[in-house]
Amino acid sequence: MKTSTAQKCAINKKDKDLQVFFDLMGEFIFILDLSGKILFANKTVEERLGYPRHELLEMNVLEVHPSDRRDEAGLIVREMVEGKRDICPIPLLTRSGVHIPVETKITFGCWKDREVLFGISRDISNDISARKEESNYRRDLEKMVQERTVQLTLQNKEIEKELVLRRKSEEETRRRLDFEQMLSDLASRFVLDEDLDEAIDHALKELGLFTSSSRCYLFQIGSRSLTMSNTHEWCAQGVQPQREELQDLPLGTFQWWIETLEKEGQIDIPDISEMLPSAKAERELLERQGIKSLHVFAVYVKGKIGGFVGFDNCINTGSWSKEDLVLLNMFASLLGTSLTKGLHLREVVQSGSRYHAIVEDKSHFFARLEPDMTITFTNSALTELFGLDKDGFRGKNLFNVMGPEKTQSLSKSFKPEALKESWFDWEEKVISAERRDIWIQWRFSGIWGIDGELEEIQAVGSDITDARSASDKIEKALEFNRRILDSSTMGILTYHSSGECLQANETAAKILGTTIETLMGYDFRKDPFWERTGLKEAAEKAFITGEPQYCGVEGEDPFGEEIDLYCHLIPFFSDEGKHILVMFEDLTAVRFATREKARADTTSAVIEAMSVGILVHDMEGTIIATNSFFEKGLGISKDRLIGAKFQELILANSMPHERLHLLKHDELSRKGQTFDPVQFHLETEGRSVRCYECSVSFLKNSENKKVQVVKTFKDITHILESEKKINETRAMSQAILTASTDGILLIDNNYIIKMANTAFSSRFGMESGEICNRNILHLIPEELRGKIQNIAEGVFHSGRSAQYEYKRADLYLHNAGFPMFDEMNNIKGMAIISRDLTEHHLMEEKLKEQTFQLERSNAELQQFAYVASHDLQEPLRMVSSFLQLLSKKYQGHIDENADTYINFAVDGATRMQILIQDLLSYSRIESRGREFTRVDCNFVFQEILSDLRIFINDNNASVTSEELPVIWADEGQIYSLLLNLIQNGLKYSKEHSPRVHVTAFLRELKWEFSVEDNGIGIDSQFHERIFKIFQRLHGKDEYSGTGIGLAICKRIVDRHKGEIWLDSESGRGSRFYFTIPCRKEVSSL
Amino acid sequence: MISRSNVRRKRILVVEDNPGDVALMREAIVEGEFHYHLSIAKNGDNAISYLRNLADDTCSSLPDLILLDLNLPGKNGHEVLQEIKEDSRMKLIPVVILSSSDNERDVSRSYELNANSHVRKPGNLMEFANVLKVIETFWLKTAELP
Repeated sequence: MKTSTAQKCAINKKDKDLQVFFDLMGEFIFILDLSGKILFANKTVEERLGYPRHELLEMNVLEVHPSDRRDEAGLIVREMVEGKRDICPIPLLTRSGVHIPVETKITFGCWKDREVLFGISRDISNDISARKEESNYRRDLEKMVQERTVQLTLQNKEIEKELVLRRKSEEETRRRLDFEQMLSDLASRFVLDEDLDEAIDHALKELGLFTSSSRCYLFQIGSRSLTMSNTHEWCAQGVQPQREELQDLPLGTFQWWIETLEKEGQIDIPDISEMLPSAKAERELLERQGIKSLHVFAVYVKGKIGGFVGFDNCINTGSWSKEDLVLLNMFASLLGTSLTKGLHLREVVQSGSRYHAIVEDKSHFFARLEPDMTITFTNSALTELFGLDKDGFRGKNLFNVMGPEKTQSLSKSFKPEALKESWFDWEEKVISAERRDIWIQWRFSGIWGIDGELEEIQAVGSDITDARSASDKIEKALEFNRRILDSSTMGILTYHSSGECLQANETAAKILGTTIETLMGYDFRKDPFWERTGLKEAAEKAFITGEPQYCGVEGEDPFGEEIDLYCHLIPFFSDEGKHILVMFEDLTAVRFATREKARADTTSAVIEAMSVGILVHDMEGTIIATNSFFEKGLGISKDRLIGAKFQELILANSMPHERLHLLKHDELSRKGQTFDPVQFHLETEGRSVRCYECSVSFLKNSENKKVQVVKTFKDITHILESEKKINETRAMSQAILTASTDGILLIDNNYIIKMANTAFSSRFGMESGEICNRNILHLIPEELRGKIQNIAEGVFHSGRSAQYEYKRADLYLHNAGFPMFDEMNNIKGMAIISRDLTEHHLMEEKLKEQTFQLERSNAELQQFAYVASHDLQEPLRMVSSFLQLLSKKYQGHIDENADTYINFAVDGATRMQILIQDLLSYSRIESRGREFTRVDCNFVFQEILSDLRIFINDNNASVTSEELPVIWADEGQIYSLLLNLIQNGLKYSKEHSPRVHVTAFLRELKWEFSVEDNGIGIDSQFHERIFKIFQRLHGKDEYSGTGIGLAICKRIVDRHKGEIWLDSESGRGSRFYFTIPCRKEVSSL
Repeated sequence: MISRSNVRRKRILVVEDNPGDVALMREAIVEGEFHYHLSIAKNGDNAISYLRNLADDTCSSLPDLILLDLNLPGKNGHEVLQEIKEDSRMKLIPVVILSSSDNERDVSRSYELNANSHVRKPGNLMEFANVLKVIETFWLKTAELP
């Protein structure tokens, strides 16, 4: 397409205008050629980047971008040009090297006749800070929630760890306590039982059970140290006893075994398969017995290895601690002592000094006391312990020796009389001569005389320092546990299977809003809270299955507080039976935070999805937040809105006449004043005008000061339109209702009038408003209520309309009732259209009356016709007949006068007969008329011709016609009509050769006939009169006839709904016209 | 004609209340030179009782033709006609209705009731005479009667 110079000028001018416009804009605007060379840059570029324009025009656009991001910028621009990206986020670089953050959009365009790129960069520094603020806020919130969650998780883990630890230490403690208890039991057994073998068997059993070993046994090395034999064993259920097989095993074969025992005092084989080759014999023996692992401890008898005690396949091997080993070693040494003691005993028996041997057993302390606690004897172990000589304690009072503190403690619990029932145990710590702390467990027993008096007290003590130190550790561990328990952020409660609460920590009390004291001893089985929340069920399950249970608890706690807990129920066992540990954490805060976050997320999504526009601006009018409503409706993107001034938005898009008003409201809003929703119009992108409603609210800061204005915009265009439509429709309906002469009303199911028009209400002499809410049944006469109600109920039930008529007072009404449905398709009432047919009825009555009258007069006319034809003719016939008879018989017999008179009389009678006949014919046109048929007028004309042939011949007349139509008529009457008119034409001829011509043509759906003659013509003053009956214009001597012919013609034409008239002048012939309508019109009439 | 002279005179019953018409008939029939025995009944009842008497009397014979006027006092002509035609003894007698009425319904009614013909009384004396002659010629001279 060629561009004319003028066009070019116009374009150039337009480009120049654009430049001016661009200079006014705050955005950076570049026009670039396709290589990126700057063809134009607006004032903003010039001013903010600090380059003079002429310099800019020699630059490539990449040069105003940071040098390290130019490649990236080039790439992005390419992608934008290809439509793969919308925005370039690379900042602009000023001459002084400052970065201005911008968002750049690029579009293709045409400028100065060439294809160019338009680059528009918007400074987004403000956006960034605003966004940062918002995202910071969100991030803070998220972070808070996250931190809280992490914290809780960590706490959770910690508590779990603590719990494991605690459980473990508890278990260990328990086990150790058990072990210790067991050992001390065993020790006393060894000391006191006479049957050593039984004690050993018992000990092996206890230990075997305790260590879950498959077999627990004692080997003793023969007295000559050549063989070893299994002397005692205990086997777990299902384990094959081995003792019989293991007798007199030669020590030389098991050299490794003995050497290891001697060297280490114990042998620990965690896995038989990993034994050294040097222990081949041992390995073979062990494998034969199906042993996988074992642990044996040397038993020292009289200072050298006298055997070993072993544990096969014990489950706990791997986890045995040093303390365990110490304890087991202790057992081994105890066993050794006992065995030694056994040997001693044997020796005592042999030497007869058994008592001494026992007493002098180094491993035990022994003392004998008077009932007043005076020491009478101590064994060497005891005196040696304190570095005293043999009689160091003799004669001293025990209480004095012990020092006041111990004495007080001992005397408090020890009552010598009680020894009668049982022995008394007491532990004390003493400081040995070697300055070591030694724990001694004493057992006091009484020796009673025959008289029942306490004679002597014996005290046997053993060194339990090792056991005691373990116990101390356990005590410390327990204390540690307690501290953990109390510092735990989880609520921890322990319940016994009886339901009683044994333990509670501070946190539990705090979460539950009560005190530890209240919680303690509380029976969970009797607690409705446990029952209600399912905790009880979970606890019972834990008791039965032994599996931990977990249970969430939401709702009100027993003290009416709203809580949200997550509970762990962990069953465990102890001496006192089954227990359950309930740990719970308070999730209320977590849930709240999670909920808040979800709510915040949802809120922003909801705001985005809302069909209302939301705009938040500060008190200066700078828009802070909005949703995409304006983008959809007005084509103003969110980005463009944010940071813009609200006032400018109004100026740009509002209608001029509303602008002032809007600005006033905006000012009010920025002053913090509220106002009723404002309606206004904005021009949209597509140049159409839409109507919006704006309401305003405020966001307050923590000091209750209004800091942001929230404006919501509703597009109410369609609401207004539909309101308008509704109003129009309503007005139309109202007009129709008012204009209607029919009564129109709506009633509900209870016959209450909900609406009625004036036509209806005026029947009751009321205004239409006045009649509303009345019961229709109360308005109508009582006798009609039943009928109307029946009809209405029919409509209500069937849902079909009904029509009915009734007469009320003087009114005849025709009503139609239509059911009305609600949205659920239920019948909610009925619309009634009531037509007043009173007038109609009156007319009908009148018509009936008239018809009746007409029929009667017709009948009378018929009667008259009959009378005329019969009763009148009868006497006339007599007159006429006898006059004729008279004239025939007596003519010429009387005189001439008589003859003349008779002739007059005969003539008169004859004429009267003709008149009566004519009158009859005339009257019979209606009553004797036949039904209309197709009539071919040509055929009728031919018939007339043949009937008049004689007259025509005689009078040299001519009767002619054109082609005549076929019409819808009474054929006989058409014959009479044409005959009459033709005869008329022939009769009133002045010459001897009368001519009559008949024509017909179609005019306006009627056939117009004309009968033209060349006769005497009729003076125009008679044209009306000649169609009247018996109207004659000439004397009967001139032209014969009664004057009935044309009257009959008129009557026939009238019957055919046609017209008849004539066109004639005296002496110039006449032309008679008549019309016969075409069939259609006739039949419709 | 002579050969017929000794034949029994034909008997005609005229049912007519108008003495004028009776006179005209007598005149016409006399004028026609035929001699018939003319019986006159002035109303329907008379006519019926006359006919029944004749029918009952074995010595007398029934008329050969009945001329019946429609416009009669009391029973009208059609009623009389009906009675005659419903009586098996009389129904074979030809009945000619003579009436001044040419009312279509009257004519139809006559034939419905089995009249042998319906003839209109002409107003003109000559015509009336002619009509009577025609009736005589046909019914009494031409047609063979039972």
